[in-house]
Amino acid sequence: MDIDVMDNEEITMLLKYPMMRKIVKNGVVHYQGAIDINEIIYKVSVIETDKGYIVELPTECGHLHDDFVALQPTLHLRRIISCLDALKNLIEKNVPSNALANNCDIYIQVLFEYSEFTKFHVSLKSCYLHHDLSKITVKMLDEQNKEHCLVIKVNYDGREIFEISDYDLPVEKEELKVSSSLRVVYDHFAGIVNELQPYFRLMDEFDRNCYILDPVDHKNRHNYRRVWLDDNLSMIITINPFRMCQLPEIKFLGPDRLTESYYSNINRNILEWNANEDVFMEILKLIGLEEYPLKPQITIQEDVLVKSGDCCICFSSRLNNKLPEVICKHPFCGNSYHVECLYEWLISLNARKVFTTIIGQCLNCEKNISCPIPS
Amino acid sequence: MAGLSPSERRLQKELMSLVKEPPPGVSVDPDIAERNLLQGAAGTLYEGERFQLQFKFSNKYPFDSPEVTFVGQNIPIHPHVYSNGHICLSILTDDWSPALSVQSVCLSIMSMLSSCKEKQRPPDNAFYVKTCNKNPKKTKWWYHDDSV
Repeated sequence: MDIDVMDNEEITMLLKYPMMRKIVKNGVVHYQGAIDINEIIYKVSVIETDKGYIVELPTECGHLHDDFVALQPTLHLRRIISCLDALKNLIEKNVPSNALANNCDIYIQVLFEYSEFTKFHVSLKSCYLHHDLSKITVKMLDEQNKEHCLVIKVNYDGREIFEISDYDLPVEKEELKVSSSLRVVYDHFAGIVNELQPYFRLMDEFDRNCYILDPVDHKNRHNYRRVWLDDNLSMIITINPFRMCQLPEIKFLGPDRLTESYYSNINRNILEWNANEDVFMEILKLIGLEEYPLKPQITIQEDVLVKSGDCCICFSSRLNNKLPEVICKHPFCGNSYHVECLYEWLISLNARKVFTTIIGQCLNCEKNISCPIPS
Repeated sequence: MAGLSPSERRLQKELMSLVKEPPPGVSVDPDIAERNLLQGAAGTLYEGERFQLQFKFSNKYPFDSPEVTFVGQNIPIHPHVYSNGHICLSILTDDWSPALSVQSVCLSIMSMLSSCKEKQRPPDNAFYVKTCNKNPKKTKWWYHDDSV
C-alpha cells in the first residue's frame, strides 16, 4: 500500500521554513514554495537529483548569481535544510534589508538611459546590457580605428548609478567620471581616449619598430616600454600619456660601462629636445643613436646554462613575468639578478639593510651590490 | 615549463644542459637523474677510475646547497673524502653560492681529485665515519688544507 508519509527531514524543514513543501513529480523530488528573509518573500524551487540539490535562484537575486555558483559545489550531498540555510545566508549577507523595494526606480532609469544611449552614439561598435541589469559592456572605436572595451557597472547601493569598472587606459580609476547619467560617463571616457590619440600612436610606433622586452603582452594602460639595445643593455622609457611633449623618463639597465655613454649622450642632447617634432624620433636623437636596434638574430647561445642577461640565481630571464633588474655595477662583471632572487639570498646571509635596500656582495665578483627590498 | 617552481625550473634546466653538453669527464646516469658519473682525469692518480656522485636537492635550492656524496662501490681514496662518501669541500657548505651549479660542483670535485699527490684517507677517517650524521651538511667541517 502506498502511504504518503512525512519523514523527519521534511518535518525539520517545515519547522524552519513553513512555506516550503515537498512534491514528487514523475518520481523526481521537488521542494517548492517561498522563504521569508528580512520580511521579504523569496520564491524558491529546489530539485533533488542523484548528484545533489539544484537550487533555482530567486529572480530578484540575479546579481548574486556568481556568488551562488561559487557556493554550489559545497551544497552537494547535503540535507535540504542546509541547502536552504545556505541560500538564506547568501541573500541575507548580500541584500540590504530594505534596498530591494527601491530598485525598481533604478531599473527603469538604467533601461531608459541605455536605450537613449544606444540611439545616439555613432562611435559605438557594440553595446550590451546584461540581462540582470548589473552592467553594460561597451566597445568603441577611436579615430585610428583602435578598439576600446569598457564595462560600466550599475550601482544599486545608493552611490551614483553608473561607474566604469573595467577598462584599459593609462589612467587611475579615480579620474573617471561616476554619474547617474550613462552618457556623461561614456562621453568623459571617450574624451580621454580622444586626448590619448598621440600617446597610442607613439606606443604603436615603439611596438612596431623596436624589440620590446617588457611588457610582453602590452595593453593600452602600460605607459612604459623596455627596449632592447644590446646584449645586457636595455632602456625603460616611461611616457606621460597626457603630456607627450614633456621629456620622457628614460632609465638604462645594464653594466655601468655600457650605460654611462648613453647617460652622457642624454645630458649633451637634452637641449635639442623639440617637443613639436615626432617624439619617437626625438627620443632616438636624445639617446644619440641613428636608429633603434632591431631584434637580435637568434643567438648561438641557446644551449648555454645561463645566458647573458639571465638571473644568476634562478638561471632564467623571467620570474613572475619580471626581468632581472639588479645589475652588478662593477665594470666587467655586469651580472644580473631578479630582485626577489638576490633579496632572498642576501637575507639568508643576514646582509645589512639600509632604508629600502639591502647590501651584500655580488655572487660573481664579490664586490658590493645593493638590492631594493621587494614590497 | 609552466607549473614548475623557480627552483624546479632551474634544476630542469641544469639537467638538460648536463645531459646535452656535460663537462669533460662527467656524465649523467640516465636512469637515476640525481647521480653523476665522474671519470678520473688523465694524467692524475685516479686515471681510469670511475666514481659516482649523488646530489640531493632541498626545495630551497639554489639558496640552500645540494647534499653531495660519493656513492657506489668505488669511493675515491683522497685526503678530503671519507670512506662513507662524505666530501670535505667548502663550497658544499659555508662557501656555497646560488651562482654555483651541479656542473661547477662536479668540476670542483674533479679538480680536487686531480690535484691530489698521494692517495690516502683523511687522518680522522675511522672516527668520523663511526660518529657522523648521515647528512654531510650536518657536519661542522674544518677546512684546514687548501692545497689539495
